[in-house]
Amino acid sequence: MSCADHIPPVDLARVSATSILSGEHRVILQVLDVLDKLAAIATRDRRIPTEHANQALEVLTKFADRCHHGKEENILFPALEAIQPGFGPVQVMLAEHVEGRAFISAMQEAVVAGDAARYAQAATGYVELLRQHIAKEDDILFRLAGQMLTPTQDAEILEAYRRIEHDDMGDGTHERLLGIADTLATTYGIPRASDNPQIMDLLTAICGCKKG
Amino acid sequence: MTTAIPIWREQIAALRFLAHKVARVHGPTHPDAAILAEVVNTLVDTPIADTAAQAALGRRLSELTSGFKPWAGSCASVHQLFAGLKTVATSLPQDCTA
Repeated sequence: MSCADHIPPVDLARVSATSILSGEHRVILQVLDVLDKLAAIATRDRRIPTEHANQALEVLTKFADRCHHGKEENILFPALEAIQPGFGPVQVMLAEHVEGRAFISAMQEAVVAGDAARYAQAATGYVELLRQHIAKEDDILFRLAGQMLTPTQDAEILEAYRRIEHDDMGDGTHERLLGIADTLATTYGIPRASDNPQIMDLLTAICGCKKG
Repeated sequence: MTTAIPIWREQIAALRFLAHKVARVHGPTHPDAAILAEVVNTLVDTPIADTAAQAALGRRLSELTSGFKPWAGSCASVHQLFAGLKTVATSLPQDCTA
């Protein structure tokens, strides 16, 4: 039992600094399921389904790492550390992000080299790492964060997320990557996170669109 | 193994998210935005071989957007959505855009 078990889980029905990230986790988990399938094909057929492997890597590098981990590393984590200097769970998460990038590099190199065995090994390692990483964030870190952040801080973080998606990622990039993730899921018969209306609302909540 | 996915499948999946976003923000002033999001949603799941359904959905998209013309004074997301839908509509089989 973790120390966060007495704290309520992230409320996915409400847009917040943590629910946005938990919503994105569902898409990342969906891509991890695709990666499982790609690794199985690579092992069984001794070849990499290159087009789909590259599509999955694009979603993982741009959506999971740059956009999602970018929000965590540049916005949420510093905010939590400002509240509680040296906040332990954040340090663990940061170390796992670094470990994840090593697996992504290994997958990229394996695709270029056409090394199916290495691809399958790296993909499987990444899937195992990210699944437990996401569980830790959803079940422990985000619960604690929900208790630490004031409504004002939460709103400031959401505004900062918005800037990442529009200024750093660029308008339309988020939607394009989510589209690739969904197309891959459909191709491999994996349920789409976006078919859950609550998750769809979270995935489209960070919007610079002005009401007119 | 799966076959290659037509490029418009990927585009329409991306537009599904954009259409939902536009519906959330602009639904109160443009009720058709919610219907548009539903039509895009349906198109995502329409089998490639079902050209009759694609034709009907393509025509509905054109109707709802008045020929893919963004609403007066609308934001960048609406322009992006309508431009994307127009591209997808023209990528559908010829008999589906008639």
